Amino acid sequence: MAFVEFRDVSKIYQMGEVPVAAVRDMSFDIERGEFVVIVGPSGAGKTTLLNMLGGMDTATSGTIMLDGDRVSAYNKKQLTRYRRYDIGFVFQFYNLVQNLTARENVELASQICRDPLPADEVLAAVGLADRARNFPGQLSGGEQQRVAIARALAKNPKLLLCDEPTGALDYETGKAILKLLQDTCRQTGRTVVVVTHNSAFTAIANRVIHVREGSVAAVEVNPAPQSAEVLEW
Amino acid sequence: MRAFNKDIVRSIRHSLGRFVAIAAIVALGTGFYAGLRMTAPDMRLAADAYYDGTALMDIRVVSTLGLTDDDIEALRQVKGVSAVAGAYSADVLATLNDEQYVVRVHSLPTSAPQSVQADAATVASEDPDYLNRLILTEGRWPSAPGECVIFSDRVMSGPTALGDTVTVDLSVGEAEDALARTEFTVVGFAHSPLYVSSTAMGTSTIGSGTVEQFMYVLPEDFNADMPFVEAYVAVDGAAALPADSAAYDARVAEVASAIEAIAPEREQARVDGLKAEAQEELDEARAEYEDEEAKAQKELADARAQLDDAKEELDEGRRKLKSAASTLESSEKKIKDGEKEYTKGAAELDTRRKDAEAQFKEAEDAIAANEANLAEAEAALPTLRESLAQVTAALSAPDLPEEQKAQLEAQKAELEKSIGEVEQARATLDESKAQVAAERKKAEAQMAAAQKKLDQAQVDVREGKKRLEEGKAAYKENEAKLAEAQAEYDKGKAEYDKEAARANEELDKAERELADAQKDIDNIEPPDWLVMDRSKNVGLVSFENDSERIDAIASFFPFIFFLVAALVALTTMTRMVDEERMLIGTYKALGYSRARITSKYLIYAALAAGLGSIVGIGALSQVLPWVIMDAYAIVYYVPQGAMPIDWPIAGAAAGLGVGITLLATWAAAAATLREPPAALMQPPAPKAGKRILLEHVGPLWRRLSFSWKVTFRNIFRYKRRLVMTVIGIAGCTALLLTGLGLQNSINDIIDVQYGELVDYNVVVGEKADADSGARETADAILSDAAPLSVAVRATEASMIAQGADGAEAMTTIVVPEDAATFQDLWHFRERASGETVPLPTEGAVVTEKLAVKLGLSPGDAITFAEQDDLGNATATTYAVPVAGVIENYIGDYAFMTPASYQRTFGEEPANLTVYARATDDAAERAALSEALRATGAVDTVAYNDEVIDSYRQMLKSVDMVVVVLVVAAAALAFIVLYNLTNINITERAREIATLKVLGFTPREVNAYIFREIVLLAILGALLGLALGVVLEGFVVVTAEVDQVMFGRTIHAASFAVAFALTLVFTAVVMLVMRPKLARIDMVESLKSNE
Repeated sequence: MAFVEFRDVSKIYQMGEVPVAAVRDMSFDIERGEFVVIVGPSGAGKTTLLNMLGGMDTATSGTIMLDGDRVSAYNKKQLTRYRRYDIGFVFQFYNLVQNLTARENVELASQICRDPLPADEVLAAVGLADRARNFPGQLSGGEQQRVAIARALAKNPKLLLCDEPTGALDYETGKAILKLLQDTCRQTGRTVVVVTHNSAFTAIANRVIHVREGSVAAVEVNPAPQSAEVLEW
Repeated sequence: MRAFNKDIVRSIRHSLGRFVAIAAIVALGTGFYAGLRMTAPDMRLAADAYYDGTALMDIRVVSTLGLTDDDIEALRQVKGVSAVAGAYSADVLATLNDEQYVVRVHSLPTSAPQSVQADAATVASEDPDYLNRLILTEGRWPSAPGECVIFSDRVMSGPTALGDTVTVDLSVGEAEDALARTEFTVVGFAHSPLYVSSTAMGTSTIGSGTVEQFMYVLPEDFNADMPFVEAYVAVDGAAALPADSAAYDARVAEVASAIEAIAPEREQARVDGLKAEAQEELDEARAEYEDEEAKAQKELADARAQLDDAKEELDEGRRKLKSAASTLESSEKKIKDGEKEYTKGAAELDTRRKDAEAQFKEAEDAIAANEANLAEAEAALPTLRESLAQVTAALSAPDLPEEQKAQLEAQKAELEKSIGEVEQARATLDESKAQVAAERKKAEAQMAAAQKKLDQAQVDVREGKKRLEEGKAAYKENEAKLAEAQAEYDKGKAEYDKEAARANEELDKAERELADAQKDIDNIEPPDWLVMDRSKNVGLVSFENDSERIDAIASFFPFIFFLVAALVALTTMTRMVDEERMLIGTYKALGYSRARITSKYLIYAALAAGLGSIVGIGALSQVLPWVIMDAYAIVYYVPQGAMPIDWPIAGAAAGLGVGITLLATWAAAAATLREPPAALMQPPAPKAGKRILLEHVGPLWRRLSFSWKVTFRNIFRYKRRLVMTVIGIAGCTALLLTGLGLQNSINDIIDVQYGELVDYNVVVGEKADADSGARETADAILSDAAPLSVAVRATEASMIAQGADGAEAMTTIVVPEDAATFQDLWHFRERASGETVPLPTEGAVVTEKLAVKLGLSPGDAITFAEQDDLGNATATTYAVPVAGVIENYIGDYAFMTPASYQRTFGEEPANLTVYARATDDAAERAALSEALRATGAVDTVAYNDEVIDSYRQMLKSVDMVVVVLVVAAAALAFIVLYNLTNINITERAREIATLKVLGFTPREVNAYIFREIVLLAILGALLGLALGVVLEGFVVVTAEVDQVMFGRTIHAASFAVAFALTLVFTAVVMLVMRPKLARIDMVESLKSNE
């Protein structure tokens, strides 16, 4: 059994009288420890997929399994617990709490977990040991995203979900972030899922899931992914 | 242009919460301001309508000697007087349902039964002179003597029902002189515009000193010979003027001075009339006296005459007796003489008899001799006679010559002579014979008579002797009688003397009395006319004062709301401007001027504030006056009238509300609008996180969880919101504390006064002029420990206390006979420290309110002035040092020891008042009252319970005010917290979404947001408690009524309740806002910043 299993997952929004399927009969697997890139153009259903995988939304039909648990059957409360304990989320716009220092932002997440990683360690891991006491406003975009990653990692999640993690960053910084994510995956064996519209990122993934018009167009497994350092786009 | 307007309309539609928040807080502010400010005018308007509708007199004229019909007529003639009504009245002590009241009895105007009540405040009557028209609320008008209507108010004046009997105590005050009966049946209840306040009905000289009930009876129930006590005067044109206006005062003053102008003349007329009347009576009395005196004098004179007669008789008797004595003496002598004479007479008679015998013998012998001679002559006689017959015959021959005839004639004469001589001799002899015989007979008769006389004399002597004896006996008897008569006379004389002295004394007395009466009449002083306008009616003044108090509160209270309105507008509009930052940039880029863009927000704010003003002013200018007047209705009977919107006030309120909002809006928009369009197109630089002061307190900060840290940082990050929320919530708590504190203050009047300070529950007032027997009976009851466990005698005196700065206060001076025991009944303590204050031998202890009113503290001198009939201070004053100030809530008192009292006033304490602790048993109490009153020595028996009940009722009026304050507080809390929460949630939607994504449970999310609000609420509430103490203090001092001190402490429970209630409001807001928080979509977190 795969670590993550999507089986015939559909998400249908009722737009007035008309049902609109954002995701239709989507099926794929993700193995533990993989660095996965989900790629597709705007409106392809990536975000819906991410929402369902991240426990932020429920599927209309189909089955979503994570590490043997049937996430698609969770109620609201269970979904909250799922987000809390199993998922680490990295946003495109970092979504740091402005009023908390870098370290406090990390603690914000770790304090609600069962088995958090020490904030300082995580921050050191993302290379921000010396900026721990800074507020987000005092950090650059990349630094903020690092804090966000640290915040996600500190929860010690089963799955690290990243939504366009480089979307608001310049090229170099973006690359550094990708490297951080890849390194995290490689060094800690954590499963990382990156959602992006940028197909260049597929080169660094163990597995690439192509999404198009609400469906999985293709899944390719990359036995030898590139290092993010050498990636160019 | 139209598109721009559409944008405004849409802005409103899309941010209804914000729009409503501004409108609501402005409504609250303007509404409270306008409502409170309009209350006083509305109250005055209602009062004016009531006064005009019931034809309340403008001027009341009272004369110290009463008013006559002529006076009434004279008043009517005064320029500017439109109506005059003379009326009787008297203050009496009456019992109604076993309770005693000071009742002012009025004569019911004759037009009253025909009057028609047009509405709650209007009574129509065809009689223009029917003033102070009564509003009959229940029952009917009195139609027969002995029926009455009394005050409808059954709160302050006790429960009564139709058919109850009012029994007047004739022995007190003017009752006996004024009233023709003592029992009156209640047939109706009424309101009188003379008594708008049931707690301030006026002062009286009897009983408790204040009028507690009024009663209207038919004029016939007043004594027929009583003059009018007062005259009610209506001033022409005064009703058309508002009763509280200067124009009204001027108009009435003008007529009042016109009345005062005729007063001296009328006063003189009255005194002349009274003097004439009295003189007439006195003259009658004098005439009667004189009659009586004459009669008495005559009676005395008669008695005197009788005595004199008796005396004369006595004298006469004495004289008679004396003469009788001499008579007796002379009789005795006479008898002796008689005896002597008899003896002499008898001898004489014997002699005479012998002499007479001899004489007769001689005479008889002579006669016998003569007889013999005569017999010879007689023998010749026939011859002679023959010759004579011849001669005669010859003579008878016809032709007889003359010579012969003559011869014959001569012969004839001769012959006749010779015959005659014989016959003569014969006759003489016969005569002699007869004479002797007669002589003899006579002598014999004389002898016999003499003999008889002698015999008689003898008898007489004998009889005389006998009579003398009798006379002597009678004399003796008379002598005794005389002595008796003398004794009787002496007695009578003594009696007379006594009687006369008494009569004289009585007459003298009567004379003196008449002289005194005359002096009294001569001394009748002209009466004083007191011309009083409405300002002398305590009820009317009290109502006016209370309306002013509301004004004072109105000028202070609404500023909380305005301040909060400004802050709400500022924060809300700042948020709106922030939200529309890009839009503003766009407008700018499109070429709209700064003013034009600003106008969008100004119009938005103006619409919100304008709408709020209209709703707030419209609603609260009706509700608040209604609520406040309704609360006052417990004490005042002034029917609520129209509550017109006072446009200047409404305009000012709306102007303030809208103005403040616009100012805040302009302030909010100005900064943003100054930025160039390019900058505006960028999302605003998020407000950077900042370290706060608290973080420097390392140990504490480290202990805080991250969410607390966020909370603290957030609180200090948005300072405007902090200020808005804290002030808003502080206002809320302050209002709550004010309401509750006000309730505490007022409840404490009773609770502390009667629960802690005062331990007596009955005060008995004795009559000053009771006779000693009655007083002893009363004393016996009062000193009986069974019904009265503690009783202390005291002297009470009413004086006007004067402070240093000319402040005055009616004060009751209480002088307990036994100061130590008195302190068991009335605990003297200092309020702040709670320390007991002893009654010093020197100086006076005064109550706190009095001290504050007069600006006195221990060591200062308090001056007491005696008052005149009108209750004004006279120049007779006494100064005493203030020895202590004690806690007291009801009444203004000064306490002194008897010695101090005597030193100060130079008067022995009369000790006519008894403070006592009576049993709680109602039946025993009633029996005690009954027994005391039955003695006739007791004026009043007043139980505290009656006072307490009255106050308790009064307190209910505060409840509604508290409700208003709680509602206002809640509204304030909701608006502020809703606004704050709303802003916080919309502004932090992304943050919240992120937290949700991070796996925060709804509870944790709520806590994250609401903790901040709770903290601000607590901060605000704490500040509010402090603010509330100040506000409550202000309201209490402003609302305080004369003679009463409101409690000065807010109870801990009130602090707790105000605090808790604030948090409850906060909780309610959070409950309301929770769904909004729950609705925030996690997808929000994935979006970019704007």
